Amino acid sequence: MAFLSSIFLVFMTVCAIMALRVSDLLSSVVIFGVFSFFSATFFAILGALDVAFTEAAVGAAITTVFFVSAIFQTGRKV
Amino acid sequence: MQPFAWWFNRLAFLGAATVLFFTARNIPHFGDPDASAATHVSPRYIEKAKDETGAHNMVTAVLADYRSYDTLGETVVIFTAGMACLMVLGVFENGRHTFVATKMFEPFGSNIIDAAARMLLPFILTFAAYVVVHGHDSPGGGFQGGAICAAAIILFKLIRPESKMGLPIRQGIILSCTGLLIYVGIGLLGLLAELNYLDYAALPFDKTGGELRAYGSLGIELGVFLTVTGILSLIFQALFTGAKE
Repeated sequence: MAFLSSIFLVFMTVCAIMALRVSDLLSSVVIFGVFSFFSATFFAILGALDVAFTEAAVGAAITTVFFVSAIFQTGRKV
Repeated sequence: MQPFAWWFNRLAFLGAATVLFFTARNIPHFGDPDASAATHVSPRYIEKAKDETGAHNMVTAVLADYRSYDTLGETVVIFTAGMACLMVLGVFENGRHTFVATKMFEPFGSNIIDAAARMLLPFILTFAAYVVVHGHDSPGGGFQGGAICAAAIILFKLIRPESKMGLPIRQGIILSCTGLLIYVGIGLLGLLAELNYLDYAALPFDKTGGELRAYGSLGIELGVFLTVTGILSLIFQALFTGAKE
């Protein structure tokens, strides 16, 4: 249990750092979605199913779509 | 020599890290029965939430009944965020409703994506309705259901951008305002019956106690559902169709 949650915490940290360091905005947004998905799984491990549900629906799906459409509207810059 | 801001950033980071590192030991362990959060209000919720609110899911009991005033505030925050997005993106100019279609997405759909979306959409919408209605007994509720419903609408608009179906901005505004009105109206019923604001005991149903309050929280979940669906889909529509030149 503690081992599993530690793994997901490490994944989340790696994803957060990668999302900051990647130069392409689109890849950064996708990595941010992966971060949201890991944090949703982490919440589910901790037993907070409602929060995990919200995070998976809003963080992983809708926020990613918003970011991607904003990037497409402003023009993609590498 | 580095500039002052460089040193300041490093020092502030180190200071905050040190403080956090030494205070983290005092945080109670996960699931600690002696933690202050678990000794004051939690026993009341655990023992009486089922009888008092009629909700098996304790999170829903707290969100939609004990702390429904907080949830009203959150719903207003979401509503305000959507209105602010509309203002920033310039869909309303001089009080008039103007669409400035700048750059549409290139239609990237293929037959396979189209067929897959058509297969999935009814199930996603049904799941959204299930999540809202079943929020008393399983994880979920108005916010999650609204997010899933908005995701279904967004999926449809992504696959077929030129289609007239979906949820236009005007309808999204009407939907979110209706949701907020339902929420506030249920609260006002309590005031009309000379009870507290958002007291569900004032609802005109032939039920008592927990069952009656379950109806009240279901109505509130419906209001949150409408607001979240409308706001999320209208933010997407505003990003999608109209951006200021």
